[in-house]
Amino acid sequence: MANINLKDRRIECKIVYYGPGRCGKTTNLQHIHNAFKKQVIGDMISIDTQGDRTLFFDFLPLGLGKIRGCDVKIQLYTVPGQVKYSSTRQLVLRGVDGVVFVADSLKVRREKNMLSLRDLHENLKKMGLWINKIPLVMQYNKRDLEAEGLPVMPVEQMEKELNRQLKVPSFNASAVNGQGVGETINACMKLTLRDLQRKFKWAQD
Amino acid sequence: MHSKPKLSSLFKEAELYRQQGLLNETLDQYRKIEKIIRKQAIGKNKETLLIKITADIEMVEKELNSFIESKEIPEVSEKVRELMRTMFSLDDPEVKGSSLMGEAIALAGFGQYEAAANAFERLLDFDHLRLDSAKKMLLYGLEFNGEKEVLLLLRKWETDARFTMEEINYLVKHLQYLLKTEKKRKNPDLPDIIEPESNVTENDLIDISDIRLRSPDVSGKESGVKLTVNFQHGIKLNIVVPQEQTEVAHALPAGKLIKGVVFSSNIGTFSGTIYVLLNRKIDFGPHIGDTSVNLKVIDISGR
Repeated sequence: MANINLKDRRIECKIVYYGPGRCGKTTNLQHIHNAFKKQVIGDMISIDTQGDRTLFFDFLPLGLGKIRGCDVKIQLYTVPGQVKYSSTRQLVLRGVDGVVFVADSLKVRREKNMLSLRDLHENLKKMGLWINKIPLVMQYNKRDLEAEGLPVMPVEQMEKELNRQLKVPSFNASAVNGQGVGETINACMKLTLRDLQRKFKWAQD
Repeated sequence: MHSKPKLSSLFKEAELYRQQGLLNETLDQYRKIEKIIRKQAIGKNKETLLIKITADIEMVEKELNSFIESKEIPEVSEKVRELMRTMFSLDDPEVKGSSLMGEAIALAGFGQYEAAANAFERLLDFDHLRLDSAKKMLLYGLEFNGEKEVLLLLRKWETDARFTMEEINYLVKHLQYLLKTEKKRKNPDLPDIIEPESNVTENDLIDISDIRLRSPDVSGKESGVKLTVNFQHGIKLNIVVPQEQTEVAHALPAGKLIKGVVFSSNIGTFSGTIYVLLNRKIDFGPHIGDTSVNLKVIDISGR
């Protein structure tokens, strides 16, 4: 849950990057860390990985400065994608205000995307949140791999399989090159702040 | 027979999966290639290719095994634990010791069982947190150390002066429930032996606003205790027992059948039997510290 102090005009909210293992969640954060230096207000914390797999979480704090009279800070987190780290994902999701779901465009990862989206749905439900109510943005990552000759799913197929019911904003990306990373996080931040405005009326006219 | 360019593109694909860290997909691809090579007519390259693909498969299998066999969740340094504690601890500043409880739950959630168990152990000294800490030790102990270790823990508490006989009995029942749930989770085909059948169909039951428990061991008083229904789904009800009524929450352990319950609705009252499906302390959100209890209505009669 966002930390909103209307007296001091401060907002701190939490956005979590979710998705199957190896889909590029940490790469998204690394790119944000390198490319949005002005907004980065602390070190990126990336603890204990096993052969560059996230075991626990990554963390990156951002400061957006003053938005409609409020000092806005955003904490970005990633969850471990491997199926076995379910309790860690639940823990990282606690208090979430917005979600970026990173889907892997590789054809061989089709089922893993769907399982991870279902896992997100279940974990949100355990916290009394609904996937179709929470600010959510979809990212179709690794689009660049098509040029390398790897079989990649058409965006239309991914939209149909992952976003047909949710109908949330979606972005093509190649996090390793930074493509689509900024658009994705910007859209998620906008949705999240709009949602918090609806709930807490924090913005000044 | 597969042409050379086809094989080389399959090799390239496998290599790219490997670079992506997708070891299972890499292995599948190498096995596909191996099959193709074996089907090929004898050629001068066949042996060389087979040697290469066998070596590749062995290497990926080795990598995969080391990943699978690695200790699932490694114990981390104190510095990292400190981070986990501060970033994910959910505590209630009003309750003494709850900060340590929040930290311990966060550590356990990250698989740091030893550190979490030490913190829970310290919390056993607090009268108001003892039962909750012990329940968490049973829950996480079962997950990380198994049934045998948890039974030893319970045996140790039986001679621990901090626990009353009543608390030990409650913990024994709680462990029985955890073991049944664990067994069910590991073997979902097992019939559910703990949940009795209901004689009530979903259509028979109108919206219930609150329930009154009359049983002396639940209410402790003749008039009974009234609990508001938080939500209802068919014959299943959820109530939130405020932390001020801890004794009521403790008297509703999962697996308990309670007769003589009075149900109130907007058209009148009726009595019946409920079965406690779940009793869980809420450790985050606006109801932190309260207990969420899921109930199933087993039978009803008029009044």
